Amino acid sequence: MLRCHDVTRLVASDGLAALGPGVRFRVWLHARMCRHCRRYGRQIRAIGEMARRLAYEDEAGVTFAPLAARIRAALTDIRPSTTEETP
Amino acid sequence: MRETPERTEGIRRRDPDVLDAVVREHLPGLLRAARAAGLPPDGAEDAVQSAFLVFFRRAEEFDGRARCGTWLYGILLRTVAESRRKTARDEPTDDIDAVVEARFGPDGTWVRPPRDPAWDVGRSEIRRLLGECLETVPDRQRLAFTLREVEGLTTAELCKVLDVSPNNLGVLLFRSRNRLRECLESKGIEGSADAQMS
Repeated sequence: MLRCHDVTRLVASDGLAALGPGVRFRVWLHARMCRHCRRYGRQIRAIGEMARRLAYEDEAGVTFAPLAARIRAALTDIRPSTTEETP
Repeated sequence: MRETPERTEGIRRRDPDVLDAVVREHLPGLLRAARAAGLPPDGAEDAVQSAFLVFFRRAEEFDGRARCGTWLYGILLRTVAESRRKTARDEPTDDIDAVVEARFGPDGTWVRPPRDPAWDVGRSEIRRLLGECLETVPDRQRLAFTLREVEGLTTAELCKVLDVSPNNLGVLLFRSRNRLRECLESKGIEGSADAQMS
């Protein structure tokens, strides 16, 4: 019998994917019956979704062009491959 | 996941168009990872530039069996770890473990269940609070969380770039997510303003 403690550990550590379908079904069944574990799972998923939105919001006004140009400039002395150059 | 043979060959030959595409594609994610690893903005830019240079200098070694992003993240994080070797490994114990354990009774059921009803991910206020909470997460846990949730790396890719076993990766993710969950809950977010969408 899965306990709430086991279910939360599996959910937050991404441990479900490594388990067989039988255990995953038992976790699903447990969550159907336990509102606290259901709420916990929703919150863990919400944290991931918010982190994704936050990352892209933070970059909304950011341009990567100056750094990309700096990197391209630094690359000029190592490209193209020496295999196409004079031996 | 593998790179296509055409792109692998382009990288190995250091084709300028392919190199430009690789920079465009991976620059934002590498910068996010460098910042998640705890580097300041200037340090993060330098580390990312250095990672691209190392990768392209060794382009002939690229065999396409893993995505070039996996190589780039690996190079970047080795650079970061070498510069801060003392923080390269997570502590075997963490106070968040005790906080989580205290929520369960001896029979493994909740004694202090999650308090808030639901977090509306559309509310910009909650996302701002999450940003504050992220600052409190130890670097290595924040990095694992960011690479998984924001950059979408697979378990195999994460284990490779962080140089950890799947079990250790699970511990990093468990601790980071629970630290964030506890932090958000401690800020007393309630569902009363759920209608306030951003």
